[in-house]
Amino acid sequence: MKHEYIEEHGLVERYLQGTLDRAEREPFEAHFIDCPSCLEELEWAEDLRGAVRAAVAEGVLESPPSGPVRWIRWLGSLEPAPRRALIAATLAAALLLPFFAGRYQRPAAGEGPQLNTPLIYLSAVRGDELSASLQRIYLPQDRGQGRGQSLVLVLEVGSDRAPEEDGAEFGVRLRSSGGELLWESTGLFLNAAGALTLTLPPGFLEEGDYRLEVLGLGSDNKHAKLASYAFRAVSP
Amino acid sequence: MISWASLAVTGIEIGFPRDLVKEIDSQFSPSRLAEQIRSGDAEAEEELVGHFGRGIGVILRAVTRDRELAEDLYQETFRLAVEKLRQGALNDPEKLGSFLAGTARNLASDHRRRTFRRRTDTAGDTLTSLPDTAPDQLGELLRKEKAALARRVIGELENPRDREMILRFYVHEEPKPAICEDLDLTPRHFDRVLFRARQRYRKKFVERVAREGKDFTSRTGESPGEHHVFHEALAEHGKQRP
Repeated sequence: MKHEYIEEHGLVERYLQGTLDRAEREPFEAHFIDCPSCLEELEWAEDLRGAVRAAVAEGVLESPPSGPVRWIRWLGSLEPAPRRALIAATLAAALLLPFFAGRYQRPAAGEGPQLNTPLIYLSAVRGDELSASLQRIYLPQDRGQGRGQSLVLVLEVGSDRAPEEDGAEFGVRLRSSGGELLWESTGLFLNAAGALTLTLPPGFLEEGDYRLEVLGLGSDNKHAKLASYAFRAVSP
Repeated sequence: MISWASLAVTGIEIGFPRDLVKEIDSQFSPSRLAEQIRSGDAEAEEELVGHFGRGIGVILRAVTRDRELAEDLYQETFRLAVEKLRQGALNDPEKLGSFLAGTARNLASDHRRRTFRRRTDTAGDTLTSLPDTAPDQLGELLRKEKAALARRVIGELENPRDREMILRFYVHEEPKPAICEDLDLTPRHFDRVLFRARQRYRKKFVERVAREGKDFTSRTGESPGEHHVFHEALAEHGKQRP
């Protein structure tokens, strides 16, 4: 790996941010582990990052505005009339959209935190076919009418499979054994452990075989399937 | 004094300390080292740690994002690697560096996964069972020293947009494309600002060490063997002496 490439593609900062994909990360590691100048760049970048964070934590540097704060500041910069109109429109949209989407559900009486929600770690499978020895997921008892426990599926995607773009977004598709698309969602991000977690409400799954596909969404808005997870939902 | 060679990447002043690159031991041979370790040479094992230790540290810190944990896993990485090398498990000895990098990454990833499971499985206990990570007094002092240096570096950036860029990148870890789009910056400008900030920080750190010398070490508890950056700062200061 050449230093020109490392500089041009910002590998030092991207490596420390954990946003390099495997195809770039492995050669970069193999290079810098034996390259004093790259090690030096990495170590000073690490140190500056830590120092900046320490400065913010110490209060000697002002914390940068977060997304919502920036939005509020921008709102404050508007003239009063358009600002009022925008706030009213946003509030109306936030209140009414769930009703129009048919997704609003009043919390059931007595509904509260769930304790010891089962965590189910799924392992990626090769190819698209459902294998004979599917991982079994036991559906909660008393799942009718939306009662019973939720299930949390943990998909350990890991940075090894993350797309190369910074701040990579992921999508998830749930398919039946016949390939029918049952549910999908996009705009997901890995948690700190490199995993995606999906909380399935009680009654969401029926008995049967399923396949979850994790898709990577790069900044070019192109989807690519990164991993598949197959499981069989059974009653206990 | 280290001469910073410009790489002249489309006019941007980007440099690598070429003198340091030249300092790489030209006699170093991964195949020779792997063979010596396989044959039970204890000195070769020390050489392995000496040659690859810094890189392993960077990898472990990058994966764990936890300096103390990385230090814990450091020895384990070399223990595992040496064990495999003694067994002759490395097919291509020329790829010794890749092998070590992979060992470190896998170890750290496994640890992270196990920790994640433990934390989620014992959700209610997490708050009370986490170890006390409060830094000791000396560590706290060094942290404050560095924080003050970072404040000066960021404060010296004339363009408020550049200051916001660095803070959002380092503190909120917002992705570069999002910051560039939001602040109307080019990726080249982004890289240049980060690079220069890094150089300024490094320069100030070295100057601080040069100015305060032993006083700095006695107050912060840093010694060359304990901290890579300090070690480099001392080395660089030494090179700058007439």
